[in-house]
Amino acid sequence: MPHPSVRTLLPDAADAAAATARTAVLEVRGITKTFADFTALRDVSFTVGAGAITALLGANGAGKTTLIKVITGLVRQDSGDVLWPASGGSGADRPDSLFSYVPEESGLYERMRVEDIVTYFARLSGMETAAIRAEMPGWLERFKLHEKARQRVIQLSKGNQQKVKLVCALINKPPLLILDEPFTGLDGEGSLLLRDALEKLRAAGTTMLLSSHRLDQMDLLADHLVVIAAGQKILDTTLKDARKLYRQNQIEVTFSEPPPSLDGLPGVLEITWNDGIAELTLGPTASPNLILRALLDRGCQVENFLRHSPDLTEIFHKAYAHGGGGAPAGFTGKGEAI
Amino acid sequence: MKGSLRVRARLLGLIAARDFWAIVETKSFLIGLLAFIFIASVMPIMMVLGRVPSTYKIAVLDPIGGYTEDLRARVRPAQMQFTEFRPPTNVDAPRRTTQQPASTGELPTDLGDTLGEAAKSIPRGGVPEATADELLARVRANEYYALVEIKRGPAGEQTFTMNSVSMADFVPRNMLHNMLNSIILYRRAEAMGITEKQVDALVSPARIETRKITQTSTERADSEKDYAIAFLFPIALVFSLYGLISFQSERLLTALLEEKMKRLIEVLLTRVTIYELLLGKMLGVLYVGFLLYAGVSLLVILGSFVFGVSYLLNVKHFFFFTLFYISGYMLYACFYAAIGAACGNPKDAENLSMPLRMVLMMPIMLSVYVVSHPQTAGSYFFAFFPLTAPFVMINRMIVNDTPWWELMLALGCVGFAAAIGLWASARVFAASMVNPGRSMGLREIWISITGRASV
Repeated sequence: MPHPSVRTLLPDAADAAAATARTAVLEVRGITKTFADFTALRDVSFTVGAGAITALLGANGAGKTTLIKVITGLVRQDSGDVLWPASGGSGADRPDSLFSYVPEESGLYERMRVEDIVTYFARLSGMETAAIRAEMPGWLERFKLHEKARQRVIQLSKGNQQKVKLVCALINKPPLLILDEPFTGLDGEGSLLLRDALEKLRAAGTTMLLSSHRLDQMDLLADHLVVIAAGQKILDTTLKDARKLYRQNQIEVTFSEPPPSLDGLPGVLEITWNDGIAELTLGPTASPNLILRALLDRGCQVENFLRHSPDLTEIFHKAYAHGGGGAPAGFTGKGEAI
Repeated sequence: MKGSLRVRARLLGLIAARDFWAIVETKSFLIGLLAFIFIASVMPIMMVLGRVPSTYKIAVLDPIGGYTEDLRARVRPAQMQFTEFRPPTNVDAPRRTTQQPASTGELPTDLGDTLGEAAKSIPRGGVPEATADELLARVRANEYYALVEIKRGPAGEQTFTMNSVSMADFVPRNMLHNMLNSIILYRRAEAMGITEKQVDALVSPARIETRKITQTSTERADSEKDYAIAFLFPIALVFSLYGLISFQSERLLTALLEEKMKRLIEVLLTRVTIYELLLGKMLGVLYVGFLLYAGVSLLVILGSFVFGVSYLLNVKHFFFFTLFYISGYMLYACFYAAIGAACGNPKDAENLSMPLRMVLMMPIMLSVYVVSHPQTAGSYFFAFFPLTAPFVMINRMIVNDTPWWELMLALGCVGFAAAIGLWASARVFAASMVNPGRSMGLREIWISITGRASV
């Protein structure tokens, strides 16, 4: 995968997915939820488009899990609606099998065999036995679990258990997959495997709503962002637009040979050096094309010319700052929860 | 979440089946089941091996004579056969000369010395001689079940020693004890000039007959033995019911708590309703209970034949016991389910379920009272109070021939309470979904049930 900072310059799967996100699978309208004197959600609205990964982000206690529980019908909202446009249902009256939900750090029946537990959840989702028999081998193979089908859940690694949960959630091909903190408790390899699995699912057209603290992982996965702070939505846009929205007016230039003086470049207000990389701060009327031409005209050996693009951690922090939430609690600069 | 009744029933069945197999497949359950099978298999073995001798053969070493005849007169030959022996003359001679003061025909002045042998003139011809050691050897060789030695104590009183290979059984020992007491009594009376008829008149008990009055007839009640069994039988049934209900309810609590802690419950509740989930789990555990119930029934039936009380088995009792078992389990299961919903860890669940365990034990403590006084206002109250009705009604049903309408009404009370319990536990469940990892306080539980919570 390319570094997130160059993502805007390269066509990728996310762009394609975003382009296909035409139809809304889920519409959340004006959800408010209060517990005693505490307002957990305040007039939250957003839409989950088909075929895309929507990241639901927020600091600890921002209201993400409560929002997911309202969407899944586990908690009843005080006001607002959860609509399923494709089916025409709403709230608790939704038809079955509109979504599959995997809660944060959820477990499985440890003594059940993998194939039995998948069959159980598939049948609860309304699948017939014949359909389950036809579908299960493919799903198990896709997640490299086919050789573990007869093993009991307790014998599996945590990463494989997470994959079993995904198979349980996906076998009935729900229009929407809701994952609450799917990366929690996974090590580096487990996270990589899960991310790979989710990317493949997106490529296959599965719509997902992901809540996570792992901004580094979400940066690589998300097409759309919904950021909430203190129960209120503060950002609702595509990741691409968020990068544009929060990018600093900077260009990073790497030279293969020490350049001559960079003074007087057109539209450049300030030049700072950082590990051999020149960071050019642009004025409001500066043109990257003119700057590049000026550098080449001066005989500079340009190795890399990059318009700075903020990563998700930066976007998140700025969204919190602009949204009045202040610095988000529970986040490090590396995009991981502490 | 909508769906046809058939679909919803299928989901309920799926949950019940999974929970049933989750318990039945465990090794601990299989070991428990094997224990049942073992106990059940021991019953017929006991019927063969535990059979008492048809006739007890008793050797009586009587230096005086007369006791053996008296003993024979007091028992059927099919029950006990007595063979009289006398000590060899040289062994017994010194005793006879020194210990027969009453042989002159004078009445004894001290009743402790009243042997009665003076009143009898017993010919001893034909009675074989044997020493105690010789007879004990024959007891050891199983020729005789026991040896009864008749001796004179230091104060001249008669003493009896019963020797058997093992400790003598309660029944023959008790029979012998009563018979010898009776013989002594009559001999003393005779020595004092009291006739046998006068003694009979003195010792015969007052005739008290018990009659059972129903709306339509009057019938003779059971014997004293039947009363004793009828007293113990309902208490034993209540113990069995307590065991079944508490075992199953605890299982349900454990299963729910496990699902809640693993947040599986949240996944399940996105696919089925809270009522389907609760009912499905209750049914799954109930099916397990039926297995145990079948085991208990088998033991009761076998045991009743082994102990000769099979006449106590009654279709009506069996029918209502089953219904009270199911309804009682459903009622307590609802409470345990609510505790499972309200708690976030096993320790809190154990603490919160403690009062419920006490309530569940209350009917056992009430059993003796109810069996003794089935018609009091207190027994009536507890027979219709839902938490105690399944137990108390079983007690009353067996000892008092409770009318059908009372049994049905009690079932209705329990069923109604179970329905309310199911609704309340579903409310607690819904409230607990907000924060599944945390235990709810009593106030929170109450608020979630009374509907003031916005969940």
